[in-house]
Amino acid sequence: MKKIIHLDSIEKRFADTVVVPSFSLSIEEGEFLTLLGPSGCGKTTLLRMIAGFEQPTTGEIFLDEKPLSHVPPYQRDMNMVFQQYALFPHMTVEQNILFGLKMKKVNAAEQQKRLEEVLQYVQLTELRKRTPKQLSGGQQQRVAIARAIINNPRVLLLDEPLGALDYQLRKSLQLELKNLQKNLGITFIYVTHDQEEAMAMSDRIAVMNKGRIEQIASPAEIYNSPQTLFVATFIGENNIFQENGTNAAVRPEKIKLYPVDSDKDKHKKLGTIADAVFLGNLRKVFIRLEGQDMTVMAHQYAGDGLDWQVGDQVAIGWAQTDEVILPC
Amino acid sequence: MKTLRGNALSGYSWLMLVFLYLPILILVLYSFNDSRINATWTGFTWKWYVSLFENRQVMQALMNSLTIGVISSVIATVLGTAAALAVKHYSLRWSNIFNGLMYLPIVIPEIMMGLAMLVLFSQMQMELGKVTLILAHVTFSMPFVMVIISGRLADMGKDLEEASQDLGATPWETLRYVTLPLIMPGIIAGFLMAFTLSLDDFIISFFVAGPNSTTLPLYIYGLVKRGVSPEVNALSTLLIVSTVLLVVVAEIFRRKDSKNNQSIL
Repeated sequence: MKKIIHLDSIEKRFADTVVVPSFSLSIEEGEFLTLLGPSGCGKTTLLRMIAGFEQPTTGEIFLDEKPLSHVPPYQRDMNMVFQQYALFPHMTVEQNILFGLKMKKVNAAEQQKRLEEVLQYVQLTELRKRTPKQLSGGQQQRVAIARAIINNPRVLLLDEPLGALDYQLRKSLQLELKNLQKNLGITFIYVTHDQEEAMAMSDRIAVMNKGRIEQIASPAEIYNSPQTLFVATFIGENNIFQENGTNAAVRPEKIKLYPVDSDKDKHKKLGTIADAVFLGNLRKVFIRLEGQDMTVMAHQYAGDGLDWQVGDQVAIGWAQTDEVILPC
Repeated sequence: MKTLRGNALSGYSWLMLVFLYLPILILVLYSFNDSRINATWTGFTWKWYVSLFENRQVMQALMNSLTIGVISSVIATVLGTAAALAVKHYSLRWSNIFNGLMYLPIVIPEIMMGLAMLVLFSQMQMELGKVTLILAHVTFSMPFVMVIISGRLADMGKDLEEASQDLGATPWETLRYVTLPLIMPGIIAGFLMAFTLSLDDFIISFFVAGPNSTTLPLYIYGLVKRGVSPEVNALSTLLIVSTVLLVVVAEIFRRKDSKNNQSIL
């Protein structure tokens, strides 16, 4: 795999506050990389530095091994899909999409050819003469994507592009975006705070916290082998057991519940059922541990024959291999 | 109790309106009065308006007002727009300082502005006339243009300009294809506001006008010194009507602009 973008010891400070502490990162050609983190973790700042709207305080960004620090945004071979789409309200769908080619002085025949292709691709052919105001949120989103990909950018930057849409639409567009990325082979750098979205779409996820990248790995690795406490608790649900100066993380689905008088060799802790929430395909059971100020969450699937009631005494256990040891 | 209070309040509102508009109403009414003496109503007539349009001095003053108004508001609009665009790119602290300095002329007493400009022009040995009037009108109307356009730019946010740059437009192309078309309603509103202010101005014009550059308000003032005639009423009525019209149109443009903006951003 070829490196397309390389961030070399990038640091960003606003006045005296460090927003993004120094770090390096390489992004491979054709990959779908997600920057995931809570709001204010610096992920958008990082994306804006790559796009050229912010300058890193120190360090250098390379695109195809060429340094970008003196390249203005309008000369960088990448395009961005903005969170609120930033469609030009005084232009039609067609004019919006053609804007990039017009600015690059592509000849008229080529412009028309690419326009037809892209309109077809995002299924906007019938809406081409409308203005953005006359479109729904999902349609506006498509225009934003069409306006970016018509330029055949080396890299597409997406800043929470689905954030403004409702849940159902978001779900279906996640798949569409993923397919789009596969078919076009463009490198995607995708910013989101939605971990489900990140899991569903990415080749690699960079989990960010307070400006730092805590871990960068495939979704499965992030979920199964988190390297820091933040990653373990931010991605999915987790139980953190503090023992002998280490943290052991065990996912709720790995926790097994036993009646106190059977399988004693598998018991690790004892507790009382504090609450049980029915969610359809599973029940979330909350267990208050004995002698410890901690509540453990376990997933109980239908059909295991054990119908726990609030107040029941229970023993919990898990396989040693399901335990992830984290530094404190 | 409640209705009593309601009545008292609505009575008060009406009283306020009467207080504000009665003088203007009387002036408009008497411009249609057949009698030359203002005190008595003898019948409806258009004749004062007709004689107004046959009066060469009035027409000359009108021409002066229009020429000065158009030229000064074009210049004020260009300079005000440029200033608003420039301030946007300053850091917050500098733009606050610059804005403060730009808006100060709005609150400085007009008589001071007029006097200051008269002193400046005579220091520079400029002959008082249309040029000095235009310069003075540009000075006091530019801040208003800037306020209107700055507001529009702030509403617009930076996303659209960034999107334009991201799509390969240079800063100039961004200005031409994105920023200017989007703030155009604000620019038109600013122009109309500047034109209205120029048309109406008396105090500052009084200081910096020369013998051959009498504007309408100055001409009306000159007439009044010889007694209020029905022609003055007619002329004032026309000035009021055109001012109201201009302000309404300016307001329509200003609103159109913010409404567009709300629904899309």
